[in-house]
Amino acid sequence: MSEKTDNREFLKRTTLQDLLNQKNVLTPLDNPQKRENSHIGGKNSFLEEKTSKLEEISLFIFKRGVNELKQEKYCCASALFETLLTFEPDHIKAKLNLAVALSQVGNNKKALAILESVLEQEPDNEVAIQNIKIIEESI
Amino acid sequence: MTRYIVFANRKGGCGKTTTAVNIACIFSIKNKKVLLVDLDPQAHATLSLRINPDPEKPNIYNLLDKKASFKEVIQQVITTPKINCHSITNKNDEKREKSRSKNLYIIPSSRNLSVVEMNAPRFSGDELYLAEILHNNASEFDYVIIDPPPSVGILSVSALVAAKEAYIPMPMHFLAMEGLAEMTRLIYQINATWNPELKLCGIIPTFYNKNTRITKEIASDIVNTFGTGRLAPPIRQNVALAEAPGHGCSIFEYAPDSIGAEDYETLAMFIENNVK
Ligand SMILES: Nc1ncnc2c1ncn2[C@@H]1O[C@H](COP(=O)(O)OP(=O)(O)OP(=O)(O)O)[C@@H](O)[C@H]1O
Ligand SMILES: [Mg+2]
Repeated sequence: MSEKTDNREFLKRTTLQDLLNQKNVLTPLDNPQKRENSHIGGKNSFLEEKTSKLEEISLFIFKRGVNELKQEKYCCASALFETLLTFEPDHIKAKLNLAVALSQVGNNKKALAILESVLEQEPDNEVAIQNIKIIEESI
Repeated sequence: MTRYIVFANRKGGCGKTTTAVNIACIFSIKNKKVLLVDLDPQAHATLSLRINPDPEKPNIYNLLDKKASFKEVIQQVITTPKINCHSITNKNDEKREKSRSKNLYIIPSSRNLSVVEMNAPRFSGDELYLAEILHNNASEFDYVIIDPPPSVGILSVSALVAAKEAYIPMPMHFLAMEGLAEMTRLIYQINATWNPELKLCGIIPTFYNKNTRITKEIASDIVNTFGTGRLAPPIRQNVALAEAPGHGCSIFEYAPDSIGAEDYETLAMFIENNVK
C-alpha cells in the first residue's frame, strides 16, 4: 500500500520551489531586499551605509523569525535564524531561537550543539542552561 | 544614475558572456555610455570584441592587484565588423554602419587573472574592492556590465558585490534549474551580507526552444516562484550568436537580421525598462 504512494512521489516532478526549499531559501517574493537610490560617496560613507543597512536587515529577519516561531512554523523560523547567523554568527538571541525551532522539528542534536555554542560565548546564559536541561530530559 | 548589471550563473556555458557582450553593444548603439568589465580569466568577452587579452597590457588583474588605476585599465572598443563574413545583403551593410558606436568601453581580462582566484588570501574586505573602485569611478557611464567566470570564487562574489542588478541566463533544463536555485541562494546571501542593494532582476532563458515540454514547465515554475515580471524574454538557439565572437564583433554587426539580433534587442528593451 505504501509502496504505491512512494511510486507516485517518485514520479512527481521536482519544482523550482522544491529546490529552493531544500536550500532553505525564503520565498523570493518576501525576501527582505531593498532598492534605494542612495548615492554612494567616498570610501567611508560607502562602508558606513552597509553597516546600518545590515543592522536594519538583521532586525527585520529576526522579527520575522520570532513571528514564525510564534505561529509554530518551525521550518520557516529556523531558515530565518540560520540566514541571520550566516552574517551575524554571534547573535545569541538568534541562536537561542534557532535551537527552539530545531528541537521542535526533532533535531535535538543540532539544537544542543547550538546551545553549547551559546554557553561558550556566555557561560551563565540561563535560557541556554535551562533549554539544554529540558532537551536532555526529553531524549 | 549608473546601472550596475551582472549576468551571473555558476553553471558554465549558459550564455553569460554572449549576453553581456551583446547587451553592452546594443546599449552603446542606443547611445548609452557602457563599460563592460571582463572578470573571467578565460577572457571570452575580451576576445569576442577582438581585443587581445595580453597580460602585458593594462587589464582587470592590474586593477585588482592595485598596480593600475581605473583610468589606466579602461579601453575604448572600436568594432571593425568584417564584411563578407555571413550572408550579407546591402540592407545589412546599412545596419552595420549604424551599429558602429564610440560609446563602448571595456576593462579587458587576461590569463593572469586566474592568480586572483588561486591565491585569494581572503582577508576581509577583498570582496568589496571591485565594488568600491567601480562605484567611485564609473559614474560617467550609463551602464556597467560585468561578465563573471563560472565559479563561486572571489571573482564571482566580487561581481555580485559590485552589481545592483543580477540577471541569470539559463538554458531550460532541470539541472540548470538546480543551478538557478543555488544562484538565488547565493544572491540572497550576498544581499544579506555585503550588498543590500543587490537584486535578482530577471531570469533569461537561453538556448530557448519553446516547443519542448520541459521549457514550458520550467518557465511556469519561474513565474510561479518569482512572479511574472522576473521572466525575461528568451534568447533562442541561433548559430550566428556562436559565430559572431570569432569575427570580433557583436551580433548587431555580424548578423543584424538574425533571430539572435532580434532576441537580444528585445532583451535589451526589457532590461532598459526593468526599473522599479
Ligand atoms: N543563443 C545561442 N545560440 C547558439 N549558441 C549560443 C547561444 N548563446 C551562446 N552560444 C554559444 O554557446 C557557448 C557558451 O556561451 P557563453 O560563452 O556565452 O557562455 P558562458 O556562460 O559565458 O560560458 P562560461 O561559463 O564558460 O563563461 C559559446 O560558444 C557561445 O557562442
Ligand atoms: Mg563566459
